[in-house]
Amino acid sequence: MSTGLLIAIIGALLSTIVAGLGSAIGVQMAGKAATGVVSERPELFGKLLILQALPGTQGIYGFLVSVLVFVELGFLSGSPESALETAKGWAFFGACMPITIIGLLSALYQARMAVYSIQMTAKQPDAAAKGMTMTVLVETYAILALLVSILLVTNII
Amino acid sequence: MIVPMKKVQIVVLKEDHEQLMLNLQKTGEVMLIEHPEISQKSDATTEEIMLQRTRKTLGLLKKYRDKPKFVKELNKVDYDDFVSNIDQRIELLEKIEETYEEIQHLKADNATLQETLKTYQPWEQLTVPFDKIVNTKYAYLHTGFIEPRYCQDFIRILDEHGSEYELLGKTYDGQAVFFANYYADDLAVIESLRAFNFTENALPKLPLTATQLLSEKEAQLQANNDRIKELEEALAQYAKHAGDLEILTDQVSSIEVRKTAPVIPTDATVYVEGWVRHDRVDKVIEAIKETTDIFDCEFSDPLPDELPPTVTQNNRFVAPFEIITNMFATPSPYEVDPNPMMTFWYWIIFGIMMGDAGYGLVMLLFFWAFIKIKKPKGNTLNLYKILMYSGITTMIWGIVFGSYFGFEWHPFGLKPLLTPLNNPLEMLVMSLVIGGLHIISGLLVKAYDNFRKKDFVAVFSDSLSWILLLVGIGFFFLPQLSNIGKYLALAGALIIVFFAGRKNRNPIKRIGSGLYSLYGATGYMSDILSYSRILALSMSSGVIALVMNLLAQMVQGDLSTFSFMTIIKLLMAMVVYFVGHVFNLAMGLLSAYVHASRLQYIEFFGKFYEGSGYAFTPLENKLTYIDELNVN
Repeated sequence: MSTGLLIAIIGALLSTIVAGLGSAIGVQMAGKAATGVVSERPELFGKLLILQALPGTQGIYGFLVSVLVFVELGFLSGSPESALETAKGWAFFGACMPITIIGLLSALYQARMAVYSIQMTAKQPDAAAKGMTMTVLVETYAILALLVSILLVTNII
Repeated sequence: MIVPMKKVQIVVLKEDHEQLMLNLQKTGEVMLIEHPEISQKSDATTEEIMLQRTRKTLGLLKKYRDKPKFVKELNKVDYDDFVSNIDQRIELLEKIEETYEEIQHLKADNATLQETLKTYQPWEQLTVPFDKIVNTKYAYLHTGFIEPRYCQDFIRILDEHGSEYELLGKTYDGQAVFFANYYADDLAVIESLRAFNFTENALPKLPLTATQLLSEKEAQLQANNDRIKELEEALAQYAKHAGDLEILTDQVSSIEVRKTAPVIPTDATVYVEGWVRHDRVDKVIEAIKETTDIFDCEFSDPLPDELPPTVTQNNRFVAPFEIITNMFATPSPYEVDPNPMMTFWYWIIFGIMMGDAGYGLVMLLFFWAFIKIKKPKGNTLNLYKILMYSGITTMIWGIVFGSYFGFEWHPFGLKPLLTPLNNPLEMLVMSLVIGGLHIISGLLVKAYDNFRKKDFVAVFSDSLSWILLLVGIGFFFLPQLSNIGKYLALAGALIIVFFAGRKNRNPIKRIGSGLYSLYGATGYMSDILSYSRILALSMSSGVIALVMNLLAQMVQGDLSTFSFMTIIKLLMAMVVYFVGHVFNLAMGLLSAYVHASRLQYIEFFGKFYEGSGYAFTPLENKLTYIDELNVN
């Protein structure tokens, strides 16, 4: 295995690990806020579940980029590029960084928005959709980061 | 389409008030107007209390009731039954409440009995009745507890003084003891025992032995338990009539609605004002005529400063999607109904985001079956219908992408037109083009609205200009059309610069304001880029489906040689396929639902939608449990 391949793999792992970490913490934060509300108003469970799940997408995006890197590196077809140049390895690593970093941060910030929206929904159940929309706005930047990562990853080799 | 509204003003005699409200509620066509200063509502505290009681009782009966049937049967009630038979249902409610209260009472009694049993158990070995334990002239008698670890010390002290003692039962209080001291030694003994935490425990002066007392209490406990069992059986019987309590809940909440409807009373009459759909005026007149012959009723168009509620009327396909719009804001009654256009785009975009023919088929079948079997109503029903309809576009896009449960497949030589995983760039372009078309359609709605209002300059300068600019920029990227694109974009930009600030008289200010409007183009750019999420979401559901298939294939292993293990592996692979795809489908639905809505709310509605209306909530029966009222 070449150093390049190793570096590329580390990059791919980071995007799943770090973005997933952000989502896990984010979903947990929103979940904590939601349990408090559900204990008082169980009928809001459905709406709050959606709000709770919102910060979970970044983890999926990170995972998506990892899989794309694996596809590009030929892991899934069984013939890995064992002689990947070091420079290309770094290119893969760099391509994973947007979703790794922005995924982590946007999940955490989106979780805060989700918490506020959950509190708003507790007081005003009809406003749930508005809360969802405002919370989803944060995700825009994770999506942009994901796009940059995808476009880079799929064009290196 | 937004239905025009009429204002209705009704005056009836005071004695006809209740009947009028009942009839209006039956039609469910009038939304009453409340005038904060003069409108009056009847007191509905009785109904509120009654509702609390029925809800509580229904909650209690829950565990005695049969599980709901798999196929839901519609709960149909005759209208006459609904409005007249209330008392017997209240009687049933009271009976259930009494039964339950008695159970509670007996249970509390049992708890006390259990306590008593615990208290007397250590004294069971005392064979004398409690009231016989009295000090004699020379012997002072004591009952109490000592910690078990001091038992030896206790025996030693008593032996030293020559007292008689008996060790009885043990409890969490300690070792129960009974002893008799010679009267002269009594103080000394007690004093020395105190060092070993002896606590005196006087027994009640009852003419019974502990055993008698215990058996008496046990008998009582047994009797109580028998009675509880009996009552629980009675509750289980009552639970069969829980349906009546559900009807009662709906009856009482409907009465509450009727009572709290705002009306304006005078000395002899009652004045009712409300909104009604222009095509349902006849029904209202009919309802009033059914009530009385003595009435005055007038219908009028809303005055310019009045804002009637909004009723949208759309075909069967568009109607469910109205909830998406209403979640954002109810349309203003004076604007174009955004629903038909919104529905079309929501439907298409949802399909691309899911983008798998297999998932589409599952959505279509699952939600169709769910609606048939569980018969949901209201917003839940609409949501399921949206998901069911979106299954169709999901299938179509799945075929375009050649994706069937994450597998690439080309049935009948159908070649996928585009695979997001292999051609992300093309897919991105397609997403942005769809975004551009979506936004242009929003501008067209605005143009139509201005056209309707005969504001032709606005059609030209606020909508067409931007459409020219957007189309021009789009053409720019196509080599054959880039020349035309240049001119179109330029024309659009010029119109914006010269006309967007037309409200300013001062020509310099006008141009300045126009230039500032042109700067809004950056907003359009970011709006269109936002549609890149279509690519991201369709890719993420595609990749996860792919990974689930890979996992399942790993479990499945090689199928070329057949053995017993192959079957087991195949079964396990089935589980992975099933769990994996259900998870991906659920997550995909959630994302597609939220993000497709967001694209409507922010990118699309931002171009034209006012949404300053409020929903039409007529005076009608409030049915939570009843599905249908049969009116003869």
